[in-house]
Amino acid sequence: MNFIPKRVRVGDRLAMEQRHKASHIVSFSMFICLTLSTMAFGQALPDEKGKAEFQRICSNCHAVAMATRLRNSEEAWKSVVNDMVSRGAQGSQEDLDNVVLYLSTNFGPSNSAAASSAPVLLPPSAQTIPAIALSLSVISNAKRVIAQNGCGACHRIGDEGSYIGPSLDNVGMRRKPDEIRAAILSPQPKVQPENRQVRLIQHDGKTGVGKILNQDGYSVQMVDAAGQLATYSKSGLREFTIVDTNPMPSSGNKITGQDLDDLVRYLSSLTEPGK
Amino acid sequence: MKRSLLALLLLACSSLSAQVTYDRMLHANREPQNWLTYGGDYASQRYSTLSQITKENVGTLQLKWVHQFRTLQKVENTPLVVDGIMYIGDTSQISAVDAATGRVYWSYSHTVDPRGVFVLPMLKGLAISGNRLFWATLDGHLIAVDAKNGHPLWDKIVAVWQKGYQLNVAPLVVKNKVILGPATNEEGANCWVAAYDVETGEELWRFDTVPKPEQPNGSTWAGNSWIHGGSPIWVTGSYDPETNLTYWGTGNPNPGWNGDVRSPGDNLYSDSVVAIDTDTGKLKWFYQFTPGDEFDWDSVQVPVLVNMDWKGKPRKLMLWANRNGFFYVLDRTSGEFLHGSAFVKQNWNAGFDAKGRPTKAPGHVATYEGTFIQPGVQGGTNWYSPSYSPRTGMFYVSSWQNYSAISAKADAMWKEGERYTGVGKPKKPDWTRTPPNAPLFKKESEGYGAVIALDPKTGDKKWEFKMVDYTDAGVLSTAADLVFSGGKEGNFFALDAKTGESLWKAGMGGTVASGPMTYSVNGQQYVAVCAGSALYVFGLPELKAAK
Repeated sequence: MNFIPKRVRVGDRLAMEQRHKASHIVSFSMFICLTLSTMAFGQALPDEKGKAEFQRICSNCHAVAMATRLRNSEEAWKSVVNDMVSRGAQGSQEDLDNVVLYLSTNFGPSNSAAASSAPVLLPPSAQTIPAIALSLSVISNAKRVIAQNGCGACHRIGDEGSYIGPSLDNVGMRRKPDEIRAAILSPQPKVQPENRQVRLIQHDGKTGVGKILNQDGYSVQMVDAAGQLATYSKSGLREFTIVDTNPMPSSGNKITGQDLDDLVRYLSSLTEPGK
Repeated sequence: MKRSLLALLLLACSSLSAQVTYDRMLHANREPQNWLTYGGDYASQRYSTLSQITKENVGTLQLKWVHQFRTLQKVENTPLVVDGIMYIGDTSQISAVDAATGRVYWSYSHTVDPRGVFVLPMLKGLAISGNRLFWATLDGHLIAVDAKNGHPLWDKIVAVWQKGYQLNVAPLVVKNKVILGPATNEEGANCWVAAYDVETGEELWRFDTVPKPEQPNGSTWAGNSWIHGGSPIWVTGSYDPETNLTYWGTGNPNPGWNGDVRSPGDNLYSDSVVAIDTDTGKLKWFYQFTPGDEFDWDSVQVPVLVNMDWKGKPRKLMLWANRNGFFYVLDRTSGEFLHGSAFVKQNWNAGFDAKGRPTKAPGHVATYEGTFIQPGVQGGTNWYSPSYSPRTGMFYVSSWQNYSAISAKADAMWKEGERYTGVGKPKKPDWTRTPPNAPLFKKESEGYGAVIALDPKTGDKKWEFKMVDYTDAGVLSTAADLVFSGGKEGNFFALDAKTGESLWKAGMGGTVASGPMTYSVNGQQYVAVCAGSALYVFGLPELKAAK
């Protein structure tokens, strides 16, 4: 893909649904948008050995794009997968070996750059341009770091990124620079309650993962990475798990030096909510 | 043909006369189409012999009508129904409405003194005797209203709100007496249960829930702590015609979270059930569930009176699931403790002695830093009416499972018009067990609401219907082996009384914090419940012809 898919925002969709004018055109364009965003996050996976295991095991907790945005050596992928196992990823040794094989074959250092095949976090539009004047080089370097590290697999800035994790639009208001730095280097082991995820398996074997938005004894409401709001009836579920462990990897040895400084400065400058 | 049947039925109804006599109240089970007292009958079983709504057809229940209350607060009211007319109300207005259609016959308003600040502005319900309705208002009035036209007959101030009192209860009428008591919302005003003449409002007797030092059990309060001992009445009591005793649950001692000024002492009759002679107001017996309480575990539960076999012998019993997390069986003629077992996780009681006195577990006492306590301050259950079904033999109660709190005390000084709680701030609040915005993201281990079915003979949990959020809803059981309840999630549901399986539900859009009830008009059974600030009435789709 040589263009950046335009993601559909939840609010836009609802507004669209409420307006009934030109409904065919609207729903067709919605269809395209949703399809594109889904492709970017899930369906553009190469059909190679290990794909099934990778999807099954890894998507239990997070969007697969969180991994596919990265480019790592086999050794590095092994250590990532081991890290995931320690966080609760489940699979046989053979399954896990296949996951490592799949990732290192298709998402190794020699594969095409991550940023070109997945949505890039765009700079916030004009009204969210930081109050603190940052040089263009700081901004563009920070955006590169964000794209390369797949932050958008969970987080969202402006119109880009995922709905699963907390939006970074106004992270500069909520967190001090030191706190942002600490969260990148050594994330808290548990997420805030409002950022918990739900992992579910339906009776027909279909799985779902997303941020939990609400629940009662009968149903659960969630939003997935692509921003799709969904309700599941609990009676239709074989498994229902609320995950409060923090899926954010430590970037201690990956984002360093100038990159880290630029990233922290850029994030600290985000003080406006999204459009 | 249909019309003549209807006419016959109407005739039958009017021949009952709207006069609710003592005899009718005594035999409330003979007229299951009505709901004559807060708890359904004097035994407060909240069990109905109506069985038109069954396990098979409950799934087809549909909304028949809605009554919007004036208040914007949640409503905790249980309506009365007498011969096709329903009597309901909130803290500012009561109404008589057609029980089949919801159309209003009359409304009567009372403006609560605007200077009064009432933390819990609720009205649990009304009482009726003859053609008189009795309304205990938030600001301390007891008003008798003509049930035919809504005109006030007498209006008497029975508790002075300026001194820290409020009235929340549905009164209980026995013979010529309207029985009720005031509450104090942690303002240290000493409370009572009193009987007032139905004709005049004159006080006939009064039982103080905090005795004076020279009275029996007065020495259970250290120093002068009895002067502001509280021990409020929040919910309606029950009545047993055979013993002529009326039973009332009492609330926590003040200051609620710090017992230092009250200690040493059990602080009677706080957190107790008191059995009072209905004619004289004299105490026959009492049992204290939580002596020297420091966790706000009011015994504000409705006493459920049951006659059943106990270890091979028929006995007159009282069933009680308490806020402190224990389920009790008492002999209601003597107050003898027969059984106590936890129905939620608890860590404060190391065991009962032979007389049923709990042994406080070491280390689980109030501290300034904060004590991890199970159940938490809201308790294993609270004021929500439970139900007992003589058909299944099970006791149904809304409970807070896996619920805990860090309870901390602070120094307390009594000052008129101020809350006297002694509640402190924990040094380390632990949000991992009770996360903010908890219900939305909560895991079961962090606490959940559940309707549970207990076998009263053993205290064993027979089934549990889990919700995510906690519940303040009462329970209704019927002869069709249905259990109705709801919760904070805003669902109102019907369960199989034998298994707890969910058979039907309706999203009410507001918290269900009232006790559901059932009645029938013209042969059609209805189920009513308050949710949010409205009353919702459900029935089966087809109006069946009267038999």
